Amino acid sequence: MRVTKAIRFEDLGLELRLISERTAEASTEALSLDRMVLAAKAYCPVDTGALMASVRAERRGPLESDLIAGGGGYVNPRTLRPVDYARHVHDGTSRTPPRPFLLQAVLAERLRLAREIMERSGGLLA
Amino acid sequence: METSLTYTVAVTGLDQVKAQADSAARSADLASSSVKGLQSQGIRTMPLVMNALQTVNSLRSSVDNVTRAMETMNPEAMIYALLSMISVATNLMQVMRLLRESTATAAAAQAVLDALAGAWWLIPLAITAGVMVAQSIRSMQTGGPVAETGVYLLHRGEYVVPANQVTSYGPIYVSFPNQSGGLDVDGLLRELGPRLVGQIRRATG
Repeated sequence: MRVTKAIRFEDLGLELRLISERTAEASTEALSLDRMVLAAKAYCPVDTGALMASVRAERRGPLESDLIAGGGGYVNPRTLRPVDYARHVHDGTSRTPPRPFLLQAVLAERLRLAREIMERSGGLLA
Repeated sequence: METSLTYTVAVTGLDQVKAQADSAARSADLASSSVKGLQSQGIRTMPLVMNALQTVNSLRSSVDNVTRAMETMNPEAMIYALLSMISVATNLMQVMRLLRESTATAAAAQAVLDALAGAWWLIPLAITAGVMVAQSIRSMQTGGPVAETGVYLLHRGEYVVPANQVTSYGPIYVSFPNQSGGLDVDGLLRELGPRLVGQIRRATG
């Protein structure tokens, strides 16, 4: 991937000074994790759909976000109990195999996230 | 018992990016002012610029290869790759010193900048390449024997002595520039004096 921008030589110093600021801005925007959430939902096994619905991103800070499944007040419509089984589904149990839908999403989307940060940095520069 | 499962995604390394970028920016400012000063001298070196561009083409293809390789890296490696690219700009301090030594360097570097204007992060690299090219185009401003065959930047008024006539001039090479107002003897002596002293010192060991 190449991020391009034409600048005048005289402006090079200014542009370099703004690199970190713009990369931080781009990182903050990209860490909304929209695509990662979509990927996790796509990988998530579905029975009632409650676990898939509970997959979400929560912001921890400007440069940090959580990708979460389960909890958060989500309720399974069949059992009427909270969706508290995300870890069992994800990591597996003695009776069920692991289905690591969050991990898969992180691994599959991390390069795209980095690329998105670079592209957004370039977009801000342009 | 935890009711949710969480993976934390974070971007790290931006402090290093800022430190490197600020350092590079200071160097870029100095280099920019140096180029402006040299450009104001109105030197025209288009043939040299063409040489510079040819050399930079090979450099650019190698950078393209690095860029393609980046696509297989993970996010942390991407950030560090950015750091690595920025660190190229730290060479600007050395570049600036060289820019002062040759007007041809300034023109070549500027031409390379224009050619690579579409890839802003290549600019520090391009400046470095421009200087490397201009370094190879040696100047004979201070006179003396030509040690290597190659391209040289000659200045108006200088003479080139054919190799088969050099021995007749002895160990000290003196050239007299064409001057419409007669020979500037004082100036010549001022210039010649230190050169003679240097030659004598070298000759006497």
